[in-house]
Amino acid sequence: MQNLDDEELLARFQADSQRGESGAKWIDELFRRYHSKVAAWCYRFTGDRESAGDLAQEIFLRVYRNLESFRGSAKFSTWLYTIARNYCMNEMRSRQSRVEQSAEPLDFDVADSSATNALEAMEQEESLQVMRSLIEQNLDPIEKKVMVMHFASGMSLDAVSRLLNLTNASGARAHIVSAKRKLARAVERWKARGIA
Amino acid sequence: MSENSNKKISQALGHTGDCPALDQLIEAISANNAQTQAHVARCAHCTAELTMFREFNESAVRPEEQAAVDAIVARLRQNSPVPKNAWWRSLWSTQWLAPASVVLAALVVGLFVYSPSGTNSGPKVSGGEDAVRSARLEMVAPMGTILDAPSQLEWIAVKGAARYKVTLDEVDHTAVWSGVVEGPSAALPADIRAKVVPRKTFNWQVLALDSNGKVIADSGSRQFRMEGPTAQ
Repeated sequence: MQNLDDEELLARFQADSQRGESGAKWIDELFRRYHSKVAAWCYRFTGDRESAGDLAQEIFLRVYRNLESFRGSAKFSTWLYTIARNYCMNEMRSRQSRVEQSAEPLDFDVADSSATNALEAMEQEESLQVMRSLIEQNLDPIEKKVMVMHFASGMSLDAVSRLLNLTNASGARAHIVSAKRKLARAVERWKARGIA
Repeated sequence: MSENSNKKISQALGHTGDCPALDQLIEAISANNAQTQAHVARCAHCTAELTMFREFNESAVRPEEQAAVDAIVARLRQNSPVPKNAWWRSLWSTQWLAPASVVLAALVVGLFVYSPSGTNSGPKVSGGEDAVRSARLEMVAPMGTILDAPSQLEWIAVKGAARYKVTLDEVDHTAVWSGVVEGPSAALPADIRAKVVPRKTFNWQVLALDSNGKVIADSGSRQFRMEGPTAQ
């Protein structure tokens, strides 16, 4: 059984199911292969083992419920990851909006007031495309990743730090502050070019 | 930075019309699709999504995570959503073992009924332990959403524990069952198991007691809830 790849295990499970048999042994083996990955993923999201265990358990329950509808257009690992990613993101967003309103100001702790004004001025006249271009040209790769994960995906800074294994003292927050400063300076340069 | 600026940055860093769906992105990059590679090279959003996938798929468990991951994996094994095949069913499928298993079952029942100490009074509930500051006791199962009524409650053994006091309550704190056992699990009697019905939430708690009846570890209260039947 261990020589079978994920998709072969799934095919055997689906064949057993069609014959009215449980096929549990194939799925047990398949899930066993991913227990550690899902556990580590959830732990990085939450930072505590109990809520991570809740998330991981729910992910495998969802995967199990939908196994028969898995058609194999992507690898099993991709499909499982998509479920795990979306479930964790949604759960963490929902928990943060329920209990952590006060945590938000930390995300926007930018000391440079001129940067604030510059960005505010820019948002009145610029398109998203210009912003993307400034991000692309001015931020380093780790800053871009941290910004996407925090601002676009709504992950907490602690979760971003754990997921990317950022071991510097203030983790993702340092990259956010640095990225905002760079962006503010880039916006000012861009505005100056526009005026000239 | 204003809320509007943050919103604009969120939009600029989010999924664009050019970005493939997540599963398509991963599959295309795995297949070295040149067009997708070119898109990723200029798209912060897709680059971050791929980084997250690689963290999930390729990164090893870090030393500081190992204990937590081990505990979660143990819990996943105990709370697997995959229904277990009953051991007697596999015996039944082997022709010569079927009659043998019947004889064996009859012997076990006979021994149980006629044993001088066979009176099963169930676990005794003790009380009056001193509530002292205690260590954490790690539960294993059931926790969270489960598919079947649990046959037993399980936890990790605590060093120095002589016995464990287990309580099972409804969410309004109505006591359902309690017992004292010596090992790190407690079988739920059939009549109690029958009370675990779909969509009803239960709390359970375990106290580890030393030989003097002092509490040396406490699990805190954890919940489980059985899912209702789902249409397949």
